[in-house]
Amino acid sequence: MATDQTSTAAAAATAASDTDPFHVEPPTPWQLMGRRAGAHMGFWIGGTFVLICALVAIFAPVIAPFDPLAQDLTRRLVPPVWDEKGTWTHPFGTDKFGRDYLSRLIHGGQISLGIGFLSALIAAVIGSILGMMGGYFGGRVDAVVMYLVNAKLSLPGLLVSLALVAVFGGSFIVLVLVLAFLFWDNYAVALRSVTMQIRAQDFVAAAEAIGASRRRIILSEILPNLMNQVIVILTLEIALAILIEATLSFLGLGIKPPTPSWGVLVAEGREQMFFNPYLITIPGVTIFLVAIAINMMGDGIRDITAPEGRN
Amino acid sequence: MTHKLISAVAALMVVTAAAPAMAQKSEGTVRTAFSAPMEGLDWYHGPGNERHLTSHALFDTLIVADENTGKFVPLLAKSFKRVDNVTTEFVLQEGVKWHDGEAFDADDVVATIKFLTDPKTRIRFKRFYAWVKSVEKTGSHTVRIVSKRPTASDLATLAFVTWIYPEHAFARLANKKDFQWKPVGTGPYKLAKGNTKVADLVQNTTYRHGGSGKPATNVKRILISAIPDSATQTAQMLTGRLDYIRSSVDHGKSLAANTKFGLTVKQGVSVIYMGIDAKGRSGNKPLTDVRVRRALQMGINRKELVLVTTGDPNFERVPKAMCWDNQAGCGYSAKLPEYDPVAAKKLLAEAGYADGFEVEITAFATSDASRSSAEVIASQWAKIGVKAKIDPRTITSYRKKQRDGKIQVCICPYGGGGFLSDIAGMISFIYAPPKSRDYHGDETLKKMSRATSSIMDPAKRRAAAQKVFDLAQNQGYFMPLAPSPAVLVHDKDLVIKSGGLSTPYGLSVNQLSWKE
Repeated sequence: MATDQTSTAAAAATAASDTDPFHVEPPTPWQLMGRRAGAHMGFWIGGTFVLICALVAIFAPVIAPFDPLAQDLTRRLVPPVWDEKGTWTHPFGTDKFGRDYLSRLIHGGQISLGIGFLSALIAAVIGSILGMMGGYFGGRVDAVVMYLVNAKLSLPGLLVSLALVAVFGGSFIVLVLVLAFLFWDNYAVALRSVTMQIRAQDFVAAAEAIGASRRRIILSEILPNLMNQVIVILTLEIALAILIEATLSFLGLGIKPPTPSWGVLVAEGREQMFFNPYLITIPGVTIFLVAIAINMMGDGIRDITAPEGRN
Repeated sequence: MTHKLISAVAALMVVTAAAPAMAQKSEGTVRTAFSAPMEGLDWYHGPGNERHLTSHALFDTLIVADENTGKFVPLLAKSFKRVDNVTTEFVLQEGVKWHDGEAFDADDVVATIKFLTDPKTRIRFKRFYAWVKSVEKTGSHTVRIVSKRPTASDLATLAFVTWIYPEHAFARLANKKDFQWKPVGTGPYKLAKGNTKVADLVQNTTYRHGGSGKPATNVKRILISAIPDSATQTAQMLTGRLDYIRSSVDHGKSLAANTKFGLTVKQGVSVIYMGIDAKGRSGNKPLTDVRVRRALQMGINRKELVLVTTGDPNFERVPKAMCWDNQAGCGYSAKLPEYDPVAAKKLLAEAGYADGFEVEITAFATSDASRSSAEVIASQWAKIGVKAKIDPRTITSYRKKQRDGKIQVCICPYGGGGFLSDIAGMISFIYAPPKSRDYHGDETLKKMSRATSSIMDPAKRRAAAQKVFDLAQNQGYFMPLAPSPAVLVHDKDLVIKSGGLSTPYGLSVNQLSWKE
């Protein structure tokens, strides 16, 4: 019966649009987002740069011209190609052990971007689950979630990560987990409040009324409406994670040499900064550009998916 | 273009630096920086290379090695003679004053030796003095030191690492560590101001007893700042705020390209060596197999290490064993393995590690030679299938890791324990360590090492030491890798005496002077 009524209404609407010359079909949400994306320069610049960096990092073993660990002590501190003594064999020069700097930068990107992306993703999963649970269930569950968030917020993040890395070592996995621990609360706080607002919406009440399970409501009704917030926070946290990984490695607590990461390269380059400034400038500028690009991309996603709260 | 810009900036910095540097020269002040934290100035409570310099400036020993001949000559002692195999008598100089004006006499020597041998005393290298049975005052300016048994390195110990402290100011201190910042010595410099950031040493104008072993110079004041960061030190040097710094080879060469600076490379007894956890304390099982240790040694191209630590692949003074040929007691016949990655891989396969294994190299974060050597070795070992990670540590953190039994492979610097012309420091430090630092666990080696120290005949001592060094080499416990010279960048008008004995720090205060 209900199906018949729906079909009838749709047929009537089609008939009206066919006959009414002033009727304009409203754009779908995807079409709207597509239009906003097309006009958003920051999204395209940032996104393109991030995409290129990600592809270069993923295909590092294929793209990098040399083994990033292979030393050639007869070719130590060869300057980059823009210097008078530079060569195209080593476009970004070599370091004090004769290692090709471009190859180290590319493989360093694999480590730095990998840590940034994975830690932000794990933090997103943990923070989103806690935030949705607190926001949806309220009461004691919310009190527990807020207690955890407050406890986390009271910790000095960078100092705690320094201590954790010092205790557990500076391996890739440890860094990912430590940084994930550092970031999950941002997701939890944001998603908890948004979940509370969504929970009060009619469509959630309707789903409850027709007997949908809590799991189904959370996964099918609430989560899809949180995804744009998750993605925006994720992009910002990736940039932050890359910066913190660089900080930890710079302080000698992150990735251990000779494995390259951008932070390791900055730390190594610092020793030579007065006489071979390219060694610190190249990874430093790379970190700067990637962080800016990820932020531009995140900002763009925010503007494209939910422009209503934007000034 | 970039180089031109850098050169211009550097030139500007040097021009602006010229005026203060000139002023320092006219006032006879030398300003330098220590990379290691300044936790005190005396060597007994913190036997680091930097404290060797400050102790040498503030205090005197009874005897001292002549810089040119290496022979022991009197310093606080006017003369000395061996009464028998275990007794040495010292006649002390009269008229020597402590920095506070008190007179130096035999009581000070007795109090110092008693402190060093007191069971309650807690200092890192206390075992250096374990041979002392007693010290007695035989007159106001005569003392006798009696050994428990004949000890070949007794004079070397007294010359290199036994600074005499004042009985009136030191022996009565309830907490002896307080002396670190309140030193009173007889040395050529006295402390005007000292804390963890700066040490201001001013010339002791009453210093007359240095003789040929420790002569005074025209440097009237030495101002030491704690600057852990090498880049900051370089910046201070470029802007004329320091007169000399210890530097890495690369830095040194780059700085010395400027005509305002000079470069002095002093190679003493310091080496970069490799120690391997043969005892299995760290839990890395492959290292307990002598074939693996030999393979690791064969996987190292030492020529590349020499290039990295000295900047010169043809550097003349390269270690051939864990002692230097000109050190008393140095003997060896075992040759260091040649670089042979193919044979190394074969040996690893024989030991059951054809696919290699993972290992962690611990290096000294504050030593460029140590860190750089570790990086080069990690790359070389990759060719034989051994995947190495590097863990650079500060000295304090390194010692904790060492005590905790977590060091797998150490690529570390060693300055001979302060002993410049004798193997005593090396024997004691490397081959007969206390339990907390023992990573070879070879009781035979320890027994042989101890026996070496009581052989007085030089030829027989050398023969006994040869067995010790050969055994340790053949078992792959230790291997000298490269020299670790002190690379000193200095104002062109500051003269750093080259040649002679080079301390663990690289120079002594009496090797510094301004051009007249």
